[in-house]
Amino acid sequence: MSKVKGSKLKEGDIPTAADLNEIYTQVSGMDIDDTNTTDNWAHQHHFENVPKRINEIYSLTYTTGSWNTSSTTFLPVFSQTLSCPVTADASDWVLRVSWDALTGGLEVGVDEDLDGLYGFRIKVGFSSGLTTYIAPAVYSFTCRSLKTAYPNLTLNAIQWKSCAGSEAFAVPRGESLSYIELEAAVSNTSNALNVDRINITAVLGRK
Amino acid sequence: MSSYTPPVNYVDGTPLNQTQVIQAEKSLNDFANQQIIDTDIPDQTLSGYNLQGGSLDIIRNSYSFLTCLVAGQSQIDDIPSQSYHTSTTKNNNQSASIEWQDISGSGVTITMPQNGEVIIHYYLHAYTPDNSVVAGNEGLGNGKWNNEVRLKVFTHSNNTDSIKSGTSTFCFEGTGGALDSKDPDAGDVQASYRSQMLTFRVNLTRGQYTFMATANPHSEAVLYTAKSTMVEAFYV
Repeated sequence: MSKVKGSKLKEGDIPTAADLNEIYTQVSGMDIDDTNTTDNWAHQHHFENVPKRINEIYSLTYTTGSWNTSSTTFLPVFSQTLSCPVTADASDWVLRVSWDALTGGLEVGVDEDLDGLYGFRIKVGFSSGLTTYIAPAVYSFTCRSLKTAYPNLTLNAIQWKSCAGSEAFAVPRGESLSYIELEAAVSNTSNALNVDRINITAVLGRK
Repeated sequence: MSSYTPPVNYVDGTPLNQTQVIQAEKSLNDFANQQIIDTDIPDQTLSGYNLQGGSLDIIRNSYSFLTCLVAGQSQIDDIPSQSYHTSTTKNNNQSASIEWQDISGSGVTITMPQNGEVIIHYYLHAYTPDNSVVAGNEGLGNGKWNNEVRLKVFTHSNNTDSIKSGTSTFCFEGTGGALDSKDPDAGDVQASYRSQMLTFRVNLTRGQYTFMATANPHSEAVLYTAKSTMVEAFYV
């Protein structure tokens, strides 16, 4: 629907200054918005790729050596941080993070009940200092997870195991994204988690 | 558009000047014919209806949106179908004569109209029956042979494979004598009956690609079920 209207003058009319100025005034006050654009006009090639993309993609793959922890405090795996600095803007954001990890050789001292667990989670950090935790996953060191001595099982850890998690998260409006980390911890310090490699992928979508 | 300023302001009682009329019409003409720039469109003024509609490719099970393409396969709800793999050779810490065998049902093919960033997710299930051929293992008995799975990216334009490091997952034949470098440690069931998941990113140029899981088996028999594979290619 056009916002610049046609001339109302016809032959014989004596135009006023307002009549002559009208079309210029309409154009100066015109914006492009939903009322004067047709459906399906915007195609991929109309949108910029830098600096502000509709989807920001981040990833981290780390395979050097192995990482160990016997801490009940969550720590970043391989001490790796995925930097993703994005300044808040007028749009709403949805952040989707997926991760997978491969455990290596584990050490089990205690595996009864909640003592025999290890867990991963994603930590999302913002420039304001705000942090949030998403995509958790918890696993058992051995095939036994209950506090029972029956059946009698050898306390053998399940090693070289594939672990994974994923979650979508609506970012609070106005928060600037800073980093993403995969953290891990054990539930009892008598046990040791060994991680061989990690992958993290993240998609920040503007809407 | 907010960036236009009329060069002439007509006033009642002042005769029209030809030069002014030409100047005014030319400025309007020039402005209307220039490119639309970012400041001409205020924030939050367009709707989803303005965007190019998506399209479904039934054959490839993919959907193209304005900003990305999503393709995948899922057999989670189906009756599981397993693909059979067997080792080509069994040697301790095998590093030579490795034959990668693609896992049936895990593949997804996409066509990218422009360069983009691709994220692949897959979920497999692996099962290795115990190796009953004890004597065949050079007399060493059931061993901790590992079956490795990685992500493979096939580029159609030049028929080349790329098997990605950093994507390895494992299941094992058993928990007998230490014959391989990786020790599953746990009982036979935990060693040989495993879910395997991956998320991974690659940057690709315009073209056609197939993504699949591929196995390097050491066991007499290992059975894989490709539960689901999803590929997302982002352009903008």
